[in-house]
Amino acid sequence: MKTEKLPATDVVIIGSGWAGGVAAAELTKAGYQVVCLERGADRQREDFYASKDELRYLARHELYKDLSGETYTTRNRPGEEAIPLRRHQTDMLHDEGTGGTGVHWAGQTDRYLPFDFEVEQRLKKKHGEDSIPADMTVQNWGITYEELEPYYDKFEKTVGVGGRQSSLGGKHSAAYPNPPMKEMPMMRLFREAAEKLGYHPYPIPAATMSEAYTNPDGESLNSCVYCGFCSGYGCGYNAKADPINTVLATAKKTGNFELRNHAYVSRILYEGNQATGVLYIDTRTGKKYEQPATLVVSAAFTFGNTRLLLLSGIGEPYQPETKQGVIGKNITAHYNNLSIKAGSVGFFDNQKFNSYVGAGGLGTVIDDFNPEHLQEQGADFLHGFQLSISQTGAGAISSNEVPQNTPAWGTAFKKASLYYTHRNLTVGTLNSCLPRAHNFMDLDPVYKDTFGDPLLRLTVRFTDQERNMLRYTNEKSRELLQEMGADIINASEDPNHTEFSQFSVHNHTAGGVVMGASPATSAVNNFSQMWDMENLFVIGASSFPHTSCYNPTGTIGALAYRAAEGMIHYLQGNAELLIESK
Amino acid sequence: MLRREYKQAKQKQVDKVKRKATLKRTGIFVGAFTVGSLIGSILGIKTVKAPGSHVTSNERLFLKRQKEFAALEQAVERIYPEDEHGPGAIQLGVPAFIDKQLASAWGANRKDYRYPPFKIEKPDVGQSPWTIREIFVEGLRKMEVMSLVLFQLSFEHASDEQQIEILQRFEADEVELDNVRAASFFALLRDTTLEGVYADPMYSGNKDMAAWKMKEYPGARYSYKELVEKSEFVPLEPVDVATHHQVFMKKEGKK
Repeated sequence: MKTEKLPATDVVIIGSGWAGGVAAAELTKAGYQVVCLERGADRQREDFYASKDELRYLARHELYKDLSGETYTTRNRPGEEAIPLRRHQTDMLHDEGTGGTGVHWAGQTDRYLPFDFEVEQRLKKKHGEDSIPADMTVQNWGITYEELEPYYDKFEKTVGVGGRQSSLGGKHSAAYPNPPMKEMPMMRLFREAAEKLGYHPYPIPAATMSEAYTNPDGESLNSCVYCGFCSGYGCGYNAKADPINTVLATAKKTGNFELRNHAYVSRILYEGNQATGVLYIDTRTGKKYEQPATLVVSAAFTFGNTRLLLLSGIGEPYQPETKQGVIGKNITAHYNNLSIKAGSVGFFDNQKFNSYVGAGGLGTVIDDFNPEHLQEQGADFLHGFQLSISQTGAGAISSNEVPQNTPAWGTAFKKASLYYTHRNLTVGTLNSCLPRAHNFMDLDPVYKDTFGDPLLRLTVRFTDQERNMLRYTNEKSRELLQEMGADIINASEDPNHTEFSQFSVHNHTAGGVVMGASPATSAVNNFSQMWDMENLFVIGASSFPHTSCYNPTGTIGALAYRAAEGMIHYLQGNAELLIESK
Repeated sequence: MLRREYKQAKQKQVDKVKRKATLKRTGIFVGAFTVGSLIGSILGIKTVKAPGSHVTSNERLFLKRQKEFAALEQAVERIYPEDEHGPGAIQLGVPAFIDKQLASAWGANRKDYRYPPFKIEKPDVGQSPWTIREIFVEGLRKMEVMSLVLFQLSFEHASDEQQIEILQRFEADEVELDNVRAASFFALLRDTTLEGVYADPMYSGNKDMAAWKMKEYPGARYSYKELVEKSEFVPLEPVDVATHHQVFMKKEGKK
């Protein structure tokens, strides 16, 4: 079929999630014509009205990416044959459709630490010059916390974060735009226990509105009703910030914005080292289009950004044997079994909690184990982690926790699961993840997408670094539950046997197109501009050189605002690299 | 959801090893069951369980053979039985729920990546070349075969204990199924049963929201703003999604 060439635009953006949305808002406000290509369907607020259907959204992942046309493959080691992740329901993946993963997110909006941006020398300073293993490819971000701080502040104001600053994080130039959300009894129990143990608990910074709010772009959001259908769902109350009710709405109002759905970008087009536009397929008709543009912005999920550069032949693909090349390197994540789905569950015989109440960002967290503060003996790992209690609203299908050794079905299960429905609490953990030379992404030689292009392949295995940290977090989460008065505490993931598998993959996956100070070790500079192609910006968690112990969206938003500033500067006639490479 | 699945999968690996050792010791390890092995066993059917304790629905979208549906009914009831707390899976409508789910796009793996090659020899549900529908049919038919071989009874007429024993053998991965591991099929059956128990009643399970009542789960209520800071447990009458939709549209001033 013939490719139809469309009229040129100033900027074409791939993806309409937080990264693409922020870029779209800033560029259109500055007067540039933007075409945004979104692979998924159109979504509007009404699509989320009264959508409190746990089977459809939480159990069956209604908002998650359809895998039938494209997925990714996984393996542990080079030399092994990878297998595709096939099943949509057991996947913990990213979204598609207008607003991207920003629609079903929980709203937890953290910052990374000053430590993170200078991670290499800070780890060496703390643990010694030889503390970093030879195959651990940690690297600085090519930007400092202080340089990024104004952009964090900007994103937090766009999404109306409610919170109170942690005493243990980087300095904020201004208070959060909203007060913290309300403290529920289980959060109070956690806070008091944490304080007793000498920690410094604070409310999770949340983009679920603690009060009605209007952001600096004039977008208004309602006050959250704590309905309990939040993470995994779109918000029908317009009370959780998402790209649709903030940045995409702002872009739309300018009259300079066009969003095209069902537009699956298959290549970034270029001549020499100048991007000329993109090639995309309308997934409903199979028809191919070329969209020329002065500036190209790739703002897909980590996987999409990495794969698109590999498919387009832009940048040097990473080679694990030689550690040469950059595209695909430094994959890291809050892997489910190491981190985000680890933690300990406690059962309380004498207390019942209103567990069904909640919001995605509602919770209390301690940051005393972050790499700037964790000093304890016996912590035989680098970097750090957070512990938290989250009250996201326990659903009936997904909340059937029972003390271990209870059968998984039958009379005893029914009895125990009904009894403990409102009598269990989880102390969760977010563990940082540092990159390794042997963990990377490339193109799979066997499996293809529905249009015949190779799938992305993930090669990941865990090391003692991750297992030791898991062992340590298990202990700490257990201590907290004991202090909270739990009668029974379930053992968590066994660190001796834990390994990366398809169950591990999580939507907090980062890397592949990482940021840095030098083209030898990074793909983009700190404006998210490709070293090898000045008019191509690649934004999103793909630019994180490592994963810290915080939710990623705040940092994605901050980097997107900074990138947008760079794009405008570039379009204003400074057509060059915005930063000198070191 | 995932955490639970993951922990179960892990625990099952441990349990499997233990159980296999036990069964080998006692000499009741059951190897592969094949359709051929039931010939000659069918004649000795005796009724242990009186049929008619429930009304089998004829309103079916997918499962056609009566034995398959009857086996499904009994299996889900053993997984979520009627007891002093309230109704079990049959009374809650779970068999109809599963039948309709199998007929749906989910049963046909509409959102799954289905391109070959399928490389794993004894795959889990997630890597099976078979659809969810085919896996259910295979599993239910094998339950029937096992019951005939072991007890000379159709699965639906076997006693609760006999049915439980068969399900435990699936759970322990001691049954040969085509194209899927028995333990993985059982985990699917177990999870789908709980989905039917606790999903909104519009899907045909959780009849009269009886499961939510047992669980003191309030369903799809408009707002909890008023009780966020309450320290005592607040039991509330459940609200289903259809009712909530009406309430939502009215309160939000939508038409």
